[in-house]
Amino acid sequence: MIEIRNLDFMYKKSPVFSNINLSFPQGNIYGLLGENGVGKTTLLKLICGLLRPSQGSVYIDGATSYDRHPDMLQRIVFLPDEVTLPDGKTPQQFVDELAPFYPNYAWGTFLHLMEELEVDPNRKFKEMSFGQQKKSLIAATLSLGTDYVLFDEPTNGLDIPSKAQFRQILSRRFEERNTIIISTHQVKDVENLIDPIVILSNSGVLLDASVERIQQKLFFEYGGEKRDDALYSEMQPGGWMNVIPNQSGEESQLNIEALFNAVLRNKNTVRELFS
Amino acid sequence: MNNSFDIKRFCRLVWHDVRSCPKEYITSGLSLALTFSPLMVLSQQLLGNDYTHGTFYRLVLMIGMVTWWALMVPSYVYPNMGNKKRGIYFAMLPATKAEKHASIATVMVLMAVVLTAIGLTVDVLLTAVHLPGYTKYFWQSQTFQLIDLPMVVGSVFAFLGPAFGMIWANTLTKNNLRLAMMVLMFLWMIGMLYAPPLFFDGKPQAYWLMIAVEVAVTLFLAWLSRWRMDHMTY
Repeated sequence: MIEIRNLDFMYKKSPVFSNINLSFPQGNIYGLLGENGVGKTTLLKLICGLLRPSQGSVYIDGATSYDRHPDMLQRIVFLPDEVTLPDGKTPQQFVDELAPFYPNYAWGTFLHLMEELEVDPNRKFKEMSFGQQKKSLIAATLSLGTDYVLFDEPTNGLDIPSKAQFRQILSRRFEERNTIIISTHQVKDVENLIDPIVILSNSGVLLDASVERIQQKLFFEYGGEKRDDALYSEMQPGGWMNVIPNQSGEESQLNIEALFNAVLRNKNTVRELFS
Repeated sequence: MNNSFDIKRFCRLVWHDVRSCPKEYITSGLSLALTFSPLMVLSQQLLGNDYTHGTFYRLVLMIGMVTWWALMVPSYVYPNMGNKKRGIYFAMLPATKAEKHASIATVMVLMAVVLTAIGLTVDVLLTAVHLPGYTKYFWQSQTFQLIDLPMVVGSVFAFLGPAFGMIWANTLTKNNLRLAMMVLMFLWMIGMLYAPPLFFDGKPQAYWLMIAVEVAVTLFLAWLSRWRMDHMTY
């Protein structure tokens, strides 16, 4: 389990997080959402131990992540949004260099994923498009067999079929021992994949709830009139969509973009609703 | 236990580091060889026959160049260690920080040994074909006979110091600092390699002082580079 306790973090003198507490138990694919600059990537780096908290700690199965001990490192992998690749190498060579350090690496899995994503593992990175490079890295990341997988904007640069493939692969390969955290702005790409959802803001964690709980607390009404009591309304083809507190207990179809906007515009109300 | 220094994992890491950039070894090696070889041969033409310890200096010059090459190659191999984007895979590789630090130093030493052996072979070949200035094999130098154990130890430290200095420089992302460090380390190494014969004429205190300085500077740079690696963030 990933545990974040009383975390403060600042870049030089500008604070990013203040007294954050979060936990990511195993067996879930978490969606980490937030506006630009709230610290989503920073949080992922803190979890990996790539950054040092100003105060507080991040623990992975009880071990402090910043220590970056091999025991921890061989159970976690992070795919950043921007990676500089070894241009002269092929994905196969890249993975072959990493594989000896990961006890659960599966060679067959890598080749299978590359085939599924339609990328040649023996073609040099420099001869690939950005999307193909990204798909190669996704395949490499998942084939390492780590318990914890952290993705930062994984669908950036992927074409529409590849986004669907990414969702399918992740759903199929996900096991109970896994914790997957996906930080993204492209919520549509992962809409039916992520659960629970964590929304960050400059003031801290605005929402940390499962989809089921969100549906218990909020109602997403489609195709009606604009409501004055709505936390968020948006004109759509066929009428207005309103996000309102769920007073009837009826379940509705979650719209993550609408949820995100509703939460950002009604921070205190949402905190009270979910407290 | 798995988090302490593990020799098997360390060997795996050294192999990983060596195999990860064969292209850099070859291209940088060739470019440096092409640049420095004519200089070495030319300097031998100018100094070799007239200089008291000419053959010895030829050896020192060659070792200086080759070890500099050995130091530069890992700086191609590890240039991204301190880069926030590029260094992530290095930082996340499952090995201890001590293993990573030692692996880099080991690769540098291995490269120096291999490249020095190649350089000596070339030197012997040049002498065998009687290239002007190459009148004696390097082991026939009078000065070469005077090398003693403390000088060997001092020379090893004189080489390791720049190795650790370059590791430290590679953790810095500012190119100007890295460049300044490279120049400084080059001067240090050449100075230390050239200095021992200067003390042969009977200044034992200075001789021991020089070895002490070599050891102290090397230990300081080893500590500095290790400290920097321990505290690097991305």
